[in-house]
Amino acid sequence: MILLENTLVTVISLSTPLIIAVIGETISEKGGVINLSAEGTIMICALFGFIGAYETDFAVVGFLCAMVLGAGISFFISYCDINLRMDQIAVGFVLTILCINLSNFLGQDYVRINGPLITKFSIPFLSDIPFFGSVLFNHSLITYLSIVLIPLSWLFLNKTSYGLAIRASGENPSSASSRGINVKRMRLLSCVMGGSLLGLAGASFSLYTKYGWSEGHTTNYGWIVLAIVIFGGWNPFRAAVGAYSFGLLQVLAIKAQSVTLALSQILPLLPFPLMIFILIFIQYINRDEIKNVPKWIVAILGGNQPQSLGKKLPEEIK
Amino acid sequence: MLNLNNLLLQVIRLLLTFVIIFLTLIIFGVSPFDVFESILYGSLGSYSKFIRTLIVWTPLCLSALALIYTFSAGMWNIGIEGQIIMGAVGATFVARSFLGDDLISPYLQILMAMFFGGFWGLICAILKIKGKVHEIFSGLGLDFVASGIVIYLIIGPWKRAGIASTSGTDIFHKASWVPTVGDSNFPIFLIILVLFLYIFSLIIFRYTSLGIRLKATGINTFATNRFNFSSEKYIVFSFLIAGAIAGIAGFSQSSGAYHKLVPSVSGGFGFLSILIVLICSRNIYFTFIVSFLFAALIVGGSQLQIKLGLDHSLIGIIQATFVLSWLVLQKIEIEKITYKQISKMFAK
Amino acid sequence: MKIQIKNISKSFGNVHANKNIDLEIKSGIHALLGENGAGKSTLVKIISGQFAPDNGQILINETPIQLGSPKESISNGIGLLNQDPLDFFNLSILESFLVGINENAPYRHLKDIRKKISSLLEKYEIKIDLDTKTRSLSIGERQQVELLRLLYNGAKLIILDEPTSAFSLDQKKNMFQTLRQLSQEGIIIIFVSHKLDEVFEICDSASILKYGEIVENLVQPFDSDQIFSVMFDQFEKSSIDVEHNERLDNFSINFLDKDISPQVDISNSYDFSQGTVIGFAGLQGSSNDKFLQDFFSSDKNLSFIRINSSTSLLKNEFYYMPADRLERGLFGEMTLLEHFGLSEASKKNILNWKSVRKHVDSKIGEFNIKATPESKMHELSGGNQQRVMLSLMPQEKSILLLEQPTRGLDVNSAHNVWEMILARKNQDIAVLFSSTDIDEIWEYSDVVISVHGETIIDVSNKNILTKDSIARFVSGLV
Repeated sequence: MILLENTLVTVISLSTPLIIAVIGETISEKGGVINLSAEGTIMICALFGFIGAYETDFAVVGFLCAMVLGAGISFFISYCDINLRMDQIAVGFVLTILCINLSNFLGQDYVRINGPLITKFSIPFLSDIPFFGSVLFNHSLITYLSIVLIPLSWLFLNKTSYGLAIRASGENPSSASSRGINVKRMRLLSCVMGGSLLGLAGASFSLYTKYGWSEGHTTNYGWIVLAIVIFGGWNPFRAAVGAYSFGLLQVLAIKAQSVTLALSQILPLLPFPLMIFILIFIQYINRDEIKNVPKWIVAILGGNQPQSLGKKLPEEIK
Repeated sequence: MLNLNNLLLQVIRLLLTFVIIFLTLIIFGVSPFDVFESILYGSLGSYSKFIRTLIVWTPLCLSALALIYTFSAGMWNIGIEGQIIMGAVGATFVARSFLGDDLISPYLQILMAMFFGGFWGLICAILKIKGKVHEIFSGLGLDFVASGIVIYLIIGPWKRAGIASTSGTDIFHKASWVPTVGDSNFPIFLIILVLFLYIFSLIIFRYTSLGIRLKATGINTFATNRFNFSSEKYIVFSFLIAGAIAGIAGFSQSSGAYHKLVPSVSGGFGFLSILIVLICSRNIYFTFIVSFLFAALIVGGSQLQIKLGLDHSLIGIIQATFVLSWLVLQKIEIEKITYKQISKMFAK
Repeated sequence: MKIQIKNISKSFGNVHANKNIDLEIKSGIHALLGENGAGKSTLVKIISGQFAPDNGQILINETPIQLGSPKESISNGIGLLNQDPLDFFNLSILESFLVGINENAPYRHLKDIRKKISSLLEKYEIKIDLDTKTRSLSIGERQQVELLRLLYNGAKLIILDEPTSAFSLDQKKNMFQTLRQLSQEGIIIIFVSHKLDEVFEICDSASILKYGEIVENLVQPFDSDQIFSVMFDQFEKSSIDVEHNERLDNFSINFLDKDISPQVDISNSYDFSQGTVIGFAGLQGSSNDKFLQDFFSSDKNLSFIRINSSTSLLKNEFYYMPADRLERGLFGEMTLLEHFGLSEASKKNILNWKSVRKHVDSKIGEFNIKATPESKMHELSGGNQQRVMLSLMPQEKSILLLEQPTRGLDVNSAHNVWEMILARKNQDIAVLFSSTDIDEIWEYSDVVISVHGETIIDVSNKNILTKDSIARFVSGLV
């Protein structure tokens, strides 16, 4: 029981940044933009979050810095996509490389130094509940935020007019536009929202989960985010399950290190083949080629890729 | 017929791109002239530096060439990293076999590298055509699967005698190294191979039905049937060829640069070559030259550390800024920005 | 509700699309009839606010409304049913109702909205779960739901522009039932269609447009002869006999059972002699183009062509020319020279650009293409693109499959194109073309295959037909 408890606590706090990032990317993709710069955005926001917090001695400032930077990067992508009609994949890809190198270059003075820490904040009374208390209610504020974000983002996407407008724009820009929705604004909104969450995720690496800064501090997490978003079928709840499973995988990998080195190195790569499998599965379900798939499997593995994901806006939307 | 007006615009764009890079460097408090001087010196300053540049250049220009095939067919082959890695695995497979000390080893390695790389590309193509999986996601996934395989091999079956570490396999037998001129490091064999492949590809794209059909597939997959070929088949071809060439790049990394298999055997050259092809927009001549410039930047970058105390990541910044500004400037119709607009902007 | 259209005129350049149109509808289902280009869609676009007329006004319940703004038209209760509506595949029906709904903050009174929608669905006996995804609906169901969406947002007048083109028989039945119910409740419906059988079945009144003017207003019971005499110009009976030399490569066309209209009893297989020009007549939205695509795909499970009852034909024995030139026919970013290289590529692996260039130069002259070998396709005009497609026809004897060869071309270019096609008539095995223009079919075909909806309704030699009879066939009247 203690082992389980400890494992769960580790998984939940370890997954904090990933949850936030996955939700951000999901929102962005719902609006039709693949933010392929996730890897770079998270990395450089981790650095600037740390710098912000270090220089002012306030962790909050660090988080804010990172969010603003993440929003800025995603604004650039959506500007290129919406106004210049560039290939969003190309822009995102180049930005990834740029941001990684920038973070390496600008972060040299901040390698392995100490800055402000976020402390744990036990929620009174609730944290006293045996087992659940320590698993759920004895974390830092950013972890609570990541947990709260899961239902919040789902509600935003599925139960508000803005969320609906974003999804409609991501599904079919021309139809949405003919029903009076400002598609360009919605694409921008979702992309920037998603980008600022990616920034927040970056900061929660450097200020909490993986405290401090070093070169390549968040390597590969951005790519994993892209994989988990697909694994989650563009649904925040399922994406969260994906992120937590990945956290569990990491914990197992650390545990496995003493047993077999190979396994610990390879386990964290598991999301990628899973992502490919899910994508194939989605295609097959949607093509109705396999009729007899049990409903629960479809619910777990199926997904609804936004129809205009990654595509340029039609010319007629001015 | 060259359109002079157009050429002039591109020259202006190029100049603007350099202005942006210079400004970026100045913002970082670095003198652009110092930087480029030491890069020039560090990459071409001596014979040995030049050879090092060549050793970086071969895999880079090979994977860029590979990407030309997939980009022609309209495919975003982000899986190129994995194809390079698998090529290196294929080469290592031969180098570690009983043939590793034989003189034919390098030639067998190339064949095996092409086979492995091509196979890895083929998976992408099949997923694209049969599974309708976007090539970006499958490519990305396969990149990581490939690096997983390499790590497994290095710390598992191919581990160094005694210790298992992620630093790489045992050094290959000398016979398995890429042949060079006499005792020097000049990789004559690779250079000839590169030249051959470039000329070969030039002919493919200019004079063969394969080349023109790849290009057509990239423009409009719905019209290919009318011209009696299936676009799907040519998407498969493009990935097969790209994978095979990327495999050779992997061979050049494992048997030319490292002489062993290391976890980061691709050196990130796959992603870097995507940048190169993005600027060159599939022009084979430009790719040949720009990949050399990029290689010189990388090798010269190590000089930055010594001479100016600057991190080599500055090189990555220069490269990415170059590509990004170039791409954005392509979309801005600079000829339409008039003097009036500019003065208006400043008036505000 | 009453709509009065007064003295509406609209011209594009010097073409009068609508000329002094006066129309008053108080109730019922009203049909707008007319040939292609008679001005129906312009009128529809003016009523729904997409175009502003040059002059004239529209009154709803005696008050004039502002024209030229879709929003204004919607708030005045005018709804236009799109041909492919509700296409947010991953949104549920309820959600697609909510996109662009007439209420503020719809999620706050979601329960009420849901109730209202379900009662609406119940009332019109449409059995669809509000939570299913749009992707699982058929096109017919989507149109029905879209109809209700218009109603929900307060439409009192609904325009259906060619609504039933993609419907199955069942779907059509359901749709018509909904329409009747709506009209009984006082909703005015304007029904734009080419399909006279449907108009006869469902409409209470009709107006016939011709050259932009209303030439006749009718009420049920309709007299089909009268409609024909007004809609189409009078045609004399054909006196041209089609002559054919005896040639070797006679061919046969074989249709599937499901491609033949259940209304008629005609054979599945037809033999023709070499050089026959066969026109597939059909209205806009009918499947006449699809048959040419079927032949080209040489799929054994579709209708197919055979020569001298030998085995199946190879792809390169056909030359197929699609109607949408840049989408399915040509490569916008490639040059004329490269296109010829591409067709050369199916014969040789190595291209000799010198000979290709020579070939292009001669073709540019022969087909009067206004371009250089280096021009990219998207830079050319429609007529030039069409001539390029014709110039790409292989030298060898083949079966030409031409989808709407003169679509979007002006009279001169169209004439020019036909001269080029007919020049090949004697040399090729067959020329098959489709068209929505009955004059074109009449002018150039030896044999006319009439398509109504998705099925073939008649196959006849031209000498036993009149233009009238073709018009009847394609309108679904046997």
